Amino acid sequence: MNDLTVQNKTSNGSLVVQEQQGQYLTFLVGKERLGISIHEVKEIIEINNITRVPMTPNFIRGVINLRGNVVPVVDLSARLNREKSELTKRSCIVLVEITTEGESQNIGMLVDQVDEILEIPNENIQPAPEFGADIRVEFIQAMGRVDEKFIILLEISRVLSVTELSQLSHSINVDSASVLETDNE
Amino acid sequence: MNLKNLAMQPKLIGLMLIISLIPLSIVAYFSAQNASDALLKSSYNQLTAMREVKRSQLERFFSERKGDMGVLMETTAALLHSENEKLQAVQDLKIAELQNLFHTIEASVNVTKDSPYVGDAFNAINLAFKNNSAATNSKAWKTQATKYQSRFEDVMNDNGWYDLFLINAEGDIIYTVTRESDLGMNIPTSILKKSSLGKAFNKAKNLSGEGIAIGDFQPYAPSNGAQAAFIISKLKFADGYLAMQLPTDPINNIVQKRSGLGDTGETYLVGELNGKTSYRSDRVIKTGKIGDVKSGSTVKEALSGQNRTHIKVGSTGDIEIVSYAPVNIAGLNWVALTSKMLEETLASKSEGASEDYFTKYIKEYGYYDLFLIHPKGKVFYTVSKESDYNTNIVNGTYRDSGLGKLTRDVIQTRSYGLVDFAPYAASNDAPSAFIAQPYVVDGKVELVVALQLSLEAINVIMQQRDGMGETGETYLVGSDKLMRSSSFLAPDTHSVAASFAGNVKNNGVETDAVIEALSGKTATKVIMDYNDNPVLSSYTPMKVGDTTWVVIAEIDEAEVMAPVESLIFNIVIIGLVFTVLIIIVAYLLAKSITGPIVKGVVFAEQLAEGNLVAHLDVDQKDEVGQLAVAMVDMRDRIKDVIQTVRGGADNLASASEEVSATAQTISQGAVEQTTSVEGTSAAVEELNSSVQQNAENSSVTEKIATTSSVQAEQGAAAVTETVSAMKNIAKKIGLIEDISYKTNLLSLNAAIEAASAGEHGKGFAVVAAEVRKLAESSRVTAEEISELATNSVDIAEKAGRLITEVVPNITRTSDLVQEISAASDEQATGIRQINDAMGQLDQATQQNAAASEELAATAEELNGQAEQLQQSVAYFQLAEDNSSMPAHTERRAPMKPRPAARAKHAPMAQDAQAYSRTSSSDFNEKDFEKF
Repeated sequence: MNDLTVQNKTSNGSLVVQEQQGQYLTFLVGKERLGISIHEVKEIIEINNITRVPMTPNFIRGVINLRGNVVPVVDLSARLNREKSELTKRSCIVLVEITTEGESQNIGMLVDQVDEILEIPNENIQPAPEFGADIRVEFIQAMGRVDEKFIILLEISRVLSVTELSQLSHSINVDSASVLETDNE
Repeated sequence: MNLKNLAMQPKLIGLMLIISLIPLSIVAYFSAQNASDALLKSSYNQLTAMREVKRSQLERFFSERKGDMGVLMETTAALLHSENEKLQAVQDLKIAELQNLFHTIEASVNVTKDSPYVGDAFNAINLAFKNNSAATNSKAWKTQATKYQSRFEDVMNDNGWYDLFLINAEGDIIYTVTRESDLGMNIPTSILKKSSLGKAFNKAKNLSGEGIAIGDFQPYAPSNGAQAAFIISKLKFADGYLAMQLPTDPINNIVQKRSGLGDTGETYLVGELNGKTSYRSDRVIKTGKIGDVKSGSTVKEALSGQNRTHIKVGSTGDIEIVSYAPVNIAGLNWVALTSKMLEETLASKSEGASEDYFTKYIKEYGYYDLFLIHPKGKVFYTVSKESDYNTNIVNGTYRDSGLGKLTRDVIQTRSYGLVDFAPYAASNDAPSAFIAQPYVVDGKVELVVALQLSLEAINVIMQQRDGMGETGETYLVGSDKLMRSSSFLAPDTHSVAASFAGNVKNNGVETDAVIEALSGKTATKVIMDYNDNPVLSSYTPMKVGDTTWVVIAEIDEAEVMAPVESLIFNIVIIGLVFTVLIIIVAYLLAKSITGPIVKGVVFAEQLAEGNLVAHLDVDQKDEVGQLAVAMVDMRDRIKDVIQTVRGGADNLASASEEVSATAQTISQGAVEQTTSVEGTSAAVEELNSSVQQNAENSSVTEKIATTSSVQAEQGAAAVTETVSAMKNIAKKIGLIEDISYKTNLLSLNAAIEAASAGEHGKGFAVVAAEVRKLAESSRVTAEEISELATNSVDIAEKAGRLITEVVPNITRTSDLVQEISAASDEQATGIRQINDAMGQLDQATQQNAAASEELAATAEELNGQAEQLQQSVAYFQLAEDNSSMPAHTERRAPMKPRPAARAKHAPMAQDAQAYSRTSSSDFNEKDFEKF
C-alpha cells in the first residue's frame, strides 16, 4: 500500500508541488462517503441515457454518449460488492481517465450523490487498514481524515482496471475475484 | 228494429217459412244446375252423334252414288256392247242372205246358159231376128219367140227375175221376156250402152266363157227408169249372151227385214259406182231409194273395207249407233250399213215392260233424272224428257247449268265427277246436283252418263228425325251458305228450293256454326240459329266433290232446357204448396203461442189500470203457462204490497206532521248556535296571528342558520385550497433544491477544471468554492422553507379538519330551525283550518237553521204527498166488489165511488195541515221531547 502511494506521488509532479494538501472529490455510494483525488476526475455528468450493453457483468451499467464518444459506465456500488445502486435525482456519473500501458481510457463511475471537494492536508492522510473495511483492500488508496471522520479514498486504477474489466467482459461466467487472483499471479 | 216491432204471429210464420224454404231453394238450385249441365252435355253428345251419323250416311250416300254410277256405266257399256253384237249379227245375217241371193242367181244363170235348149232357142230366135233385118215384129221372130216364150217365162219367174234377155254377139237384144222397149236394140250403139246393162255387157264380152258379169243398179230407161241391175253370162251352146234383169225387190226384201232392230233400226246397202256412192236398197225408217246418193265418212270407211260399229251423230242429228260391213259380191262394191238410234238401243224396253231400264233405275235408286249425253254435247236421252232433252248441253241452251259444266269436266277429265246443287233451269229451276261419268273406249269418250240427284234422297237422310225431339234437326249448308237440305223448322224459308230462290240473308244460313265449319272447324256450342233462336249446335265440314258442305245438328236450347224448366216449375209448385202448408201450420202454432200471451197482455193491461182482482185464464204448463202463473202471483203480491202501502201512507201522513213540528224546534236551536260560534271564531283569529308571528321568526332564523352552514363549508374549502397551495409550495421548493444541487454539481465541475488547471485555476477554484457555498446555502434555505411549508400544511390541514367538524353542527342547527319553522307553519295552518272550520261551522249552523225551516216546509209537503199517495193507492181495486165493471171504465172509477175512503183520510190530512201551520210558530212540548 505504501508503495502505491509513493508510486503516485512520484509519477505525478503536480502532486509533489502541492504536497501539503490534496483536493479530493467526495461522493456517496450507498450510505458510505468515498473520495477520489480531484486530479483523476475529468468531469461530473448528470445522468442522461445509459445504454445497456448485453453480455456484460452486472457492475457494468452500460455506455453513455459523451460528446460523440462511447464511454462505459461502471456501477461503483456493484463493483464494490454492494447492492446495485438505484437511480435517483442525485445520481451522477463521475468521469475518470484510466491510463493502462500508456493508453488512456475514459470510464464513467455511477455514484449515488456527489458531495463536495475537500482539501485534506497530507498529514491527515493515512494508509488503509489491513482489515476492518468492507471494501477490498486493494481498491483503497488511503483513508482521509476530515474532522473526526475518515473518508475512504479509492484507488481508481484498481477499481476500474481496464484489463480486469475487459477480461471480465470476455468471461462473464468467471467470478471476478478469481480472475483478479489469476491476474495477480 | 222493424223486426222487433213486428207482431209475434207474422214473425213466427216468416221464420218457419225461411227455415223451410231456404234448404228447398238450395236443393232446387243445385239440382236444376246439375240437371241442366247433364242435359246440355247429353244433348251435345246426342247432337254430335246425330251429326256424325248423318255425315257418315251422307258420305255413304255419295260413295253409293259413285258406286251406282259405276254400275250404271257398266250396265250401259254392256247394253251397248250387246246391241252392237246384235246389230252386227243382224247385219251379217243380211249380208249372208244377199250373198246367197247372188249365188243363187249366178247358179240359175249358169244353169240357164248351159242349157242346150237355150242354145237352140237363141239360135232359132237370132236367126229369125237377123233374117228379118233385126226386127222383132216379123212373123218368123214372133213364131220363134212364142215357141220359147213360155219356157223362158218359167225360168224368169222361177228365179224371180224381172226380165230375161238374149243378146247376140253384136249386142242386139234379140229376145226379152217382157218385151219392153229395149227389145231389138243394139247395146253398144244405143242408149243402153251407158246403162247398167251396157256396162255388164262390156264386161261379159271379156269373159272367157264361164262366169258372169254384173251391172250394178242404175235407172233403166226401158223399165221406165226403174232401178235395175243386170247379170250377163255367155251362152254355152250359142254365140250369144244370156242376161237377166234383177229388180230391187229381192234385195229390199232381204235388207229391209227388221227383226231385231227395234223401232229405229234399219239396214241398208250402199254401193259405189263410178266414184259415186248411192243406196243399193231402199231405206225404211229414213228416206232414201236405191240410187239416191249416200255419202259420208261412215260410208267411206265402210267402202274402204272396214268392219265395225260406232256411235255417231246421224244425218237427222240423232245419235245413232252404226254398224257397217262390206258385202262381198264379185263385181259389186257394196257395203251394208245398219243404224239404230242410240236412245232406243239403250232405252229399250224389255218384253212386256212399260218402262225402260233407266227409268226403272232412277225410280229404283231414287234419282231425279238420268241423262245420256253424246261427247259432242247432245243430250239424246233423259228419263223425264224435260226441256233439256235433245239439246246440246255443251254449247246449247243449258251450257251454263251445273250439268253443262259437269259434262265438260268429265269429258275433259274422263273420270267421275260431281257438281253441287244449283238451280237447274230445265227442271223449273229446282236445285239440282249432278253426277256424271264418261264411257271411254280406246281413250275416246263415247258417251257420258249423268244422273240428276234428287233432293229427296238427301232430305230423307237429313230429315230423319228420330230421337231429335221437337226442335232438333240436322241440315246441310253449302259453301255458298245456302241450304243443301230442307230445314225442318222453317220449311217455307229454308227449304233448298227457297234458299236457292232467295238470298243468303233471308233464306240461307250464315250462323257462327256455318262460318266456323267452313273454315274447317268441328265443334259444339250454343249459337243463334238462322231463326235467331239460341240453339245447341254441332257442326262439321264435309267434303262433297270439289266443294265443302257443312253438316249441322241443332236443337233449341229451350227444348233441351225444358226438363230443367219443368223441374224448376215443379219445385216452385212444391215450394208454393209448402209455403201455404207452412203458413197454415205456422199460423196455428203462432196462435197457440200468442193466444195465451194476448190473454196475458189483457191481464197485464187490467193490472196497469189498477184492477188487481182481474183473472187470467191460461191453463198451460209450458213457459207461457208459467208466465201466467207468475203474473197471477205478481198480481197477488202487488195486491198485498198495495195494501201495505195504503197502511204505510196513512202512517206516513201522521208521521210527517210530527216531523214538521220537530223541524221548527231545530230551527230555533240553530239560530242560538250561530251566535256562540261567532264568538269562538274571533278568539281563534287572534291565536292565528300570534302563531303566524312565530312562524315568521323561525323562518328568519332558519335562513341565518342556512347561511352560516354555507359559509362554514366555504371556509373548509378555503382551508383545503390552502393545504394544496402549501403542498405546491413544498414541491416548488424541491425544484429549488434540485437547482441548488445542480449548481453544486456545476461548482464541483468548475473546481475539477480549476484543479486540473493547476496554479492557474486557483482563482477559479476559489470562485467555484464560493459558488458551491452559495449553492449549499440556498439548498439549506430551501430545506428550511420546505420544512416551514410542511409545518404550515399540517396546521392548515388541522384548521380544515376543525372547520369540517363545525359544518355538520351548523347544518344541524339549521335543520332544527327549519323544523321549528315548519312546525310553526303547520301550527298556523292548523289555526287557519280551525278558523275555517269555525266559519264553516257558522255557515253550517246557519244552514241548519235554514234547513230546519225547509224541513218544516218539506214535512208539510210530505204530508201533502202522503195524502196524494193515499189517493194514488186508492186507484188499485183490491176487492171483488167492482170486478164486474170493464177494465177501461174502471180507470178513474175508484176515485169517485169511494167517498168512504176519502172521508176516512180527509181528517188526517187536515190535521197534518194544521200541525204544519202551527209548528212554525209554537212548539208542542211533547214533540220537542221526541226530537
